Amino acid sequence: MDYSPYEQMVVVLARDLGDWERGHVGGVRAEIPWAACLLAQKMQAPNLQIMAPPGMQPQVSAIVHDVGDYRLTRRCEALRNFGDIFRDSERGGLDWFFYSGLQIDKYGNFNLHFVGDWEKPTLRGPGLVFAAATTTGKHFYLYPIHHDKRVFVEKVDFISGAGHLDGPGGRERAGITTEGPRLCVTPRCVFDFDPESKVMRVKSLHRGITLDEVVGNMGFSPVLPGKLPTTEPPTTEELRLLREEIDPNSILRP
Amino acid sequence: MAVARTSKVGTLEAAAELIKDGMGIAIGGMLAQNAPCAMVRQIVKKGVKDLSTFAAPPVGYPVDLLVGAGLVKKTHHAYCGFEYLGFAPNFRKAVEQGEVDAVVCDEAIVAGGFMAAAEGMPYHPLRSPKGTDYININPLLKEYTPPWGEEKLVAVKAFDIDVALIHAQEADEYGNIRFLGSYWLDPTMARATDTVIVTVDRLVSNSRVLSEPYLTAIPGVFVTMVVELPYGAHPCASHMIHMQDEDHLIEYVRLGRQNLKNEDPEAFPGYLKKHIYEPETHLDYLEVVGGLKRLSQLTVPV
Repeated sequence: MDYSPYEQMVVVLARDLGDWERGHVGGVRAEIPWAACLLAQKMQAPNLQIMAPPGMQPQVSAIVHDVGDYRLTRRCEALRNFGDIFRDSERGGLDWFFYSGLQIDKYGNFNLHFVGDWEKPTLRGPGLVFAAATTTGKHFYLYPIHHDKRVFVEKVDFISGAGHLDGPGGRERAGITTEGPRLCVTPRCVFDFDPESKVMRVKSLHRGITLDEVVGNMGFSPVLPGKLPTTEPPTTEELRLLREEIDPNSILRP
Repeated sequence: MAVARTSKVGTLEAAAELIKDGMGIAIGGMLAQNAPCAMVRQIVKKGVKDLSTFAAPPVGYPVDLLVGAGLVKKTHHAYCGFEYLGFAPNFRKAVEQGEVDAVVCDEAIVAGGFMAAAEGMPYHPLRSPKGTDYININPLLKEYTPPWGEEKLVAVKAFDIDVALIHAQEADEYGNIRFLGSYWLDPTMARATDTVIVTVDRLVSNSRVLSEPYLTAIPGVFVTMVVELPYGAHPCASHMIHMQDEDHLIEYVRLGRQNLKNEDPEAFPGYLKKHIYEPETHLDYLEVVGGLKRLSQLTVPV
């Protein structure tokens, strides 16, 4: 069956979420992490705790594009507010969060604030919500919806969210005790991070994508493993759940 | 005969009288949800200037509108934009041109600034800014060693707020405020300053509030004025009453982008004229945006 790049991104993220883990969603295309969380709940993680900004464990008839929409939480187990989110995250109670990113560098630091000089930027980005999860959450996921040289840069112009900072030991030196970036999932491939160098490493290429299409569209050289597998495409069951139960309005297939 | 208790119900015009040039204004809700948009339009209509905004934490239309009208000198928020619909065009242009001092915050920094103000403390402790660049650019942050423990923390200075602007779904005439969905950070904002203006979609009786006290999120004692304003959050959503007017927000971003790209300098002023300066009242505004025909399409069956 044919599927969209967004659906491929959703299933990669969904498969990585563990049962009983806690987290919530963000980013410029929030339908992608929303769908990943809901799919994980229906597949391997029935006890996944979705702690969304408006409400806990939302019962969703169809995902939407944004984060706080009340169509997502008019049926949920408890309402939620920023005081709750502040306490839960500063205390270190979240397992993960999702970010997109204007710029992402080889250590998984990301920038949503300034392109260029802070005083005189060529682009002032929107900023972001909930960078706290990069330092207090157990780990986080990056899901840039564009895979190009503007996004993947050698060094970000501003650290809005903390990846491995300046490389091995960077997080520890800054007093951060958690894992940091875990996967970076793009419309072309999946990256993880090399355990030694902490540099982004190609994990798998999506079906039909060449290595050159991945590396040739980046401003730094990712680590290349000896073998480059193809990303496991969405299964029939994953696509059925996505299309019938999670995304009946097909917003993941724009 | 018993002396009558004083009603806190006022008008949009009376509420705007409480907001003066140079004030720090807190703006409630989140992104396109529960934003006090009619109140913000009234500020634009009145032309209150040199404002410092403290928003949401993430925000869109209200701050972009105030900035686009040229009324803001300083902003504080985590994110300012329209999510999948695009960047905040006026905010982006004003910061890139150095016209607005945008203090760079994350959500936890904004929440901490409001919490410190609400607690009457000089600062609130944070753990999360470690390793990031917020501390290198935000003058309201300082690293410090707390009296207990080995771990260094970050202090965010209490926000200096003169007035809080909030939109909720229901209130009684004494200003007891009820939210039918998430209340975001609004009750904390309401305690962070002495002047609190709340617009609500509908007034309910005090008797109803008394019989359902678990729904009151901001007790009337913390509220200065309540204004009954159906669709007062438009074009943003009011949780459980109506959803955001996506078509309107798309058009807003489109007109703002023409200003950003210097394609049509009249595009955004045209928006302000049509939606703010020309309509005399909020009800006139609702007619301009499509009246009952459009507004009835924004209702989601619950």
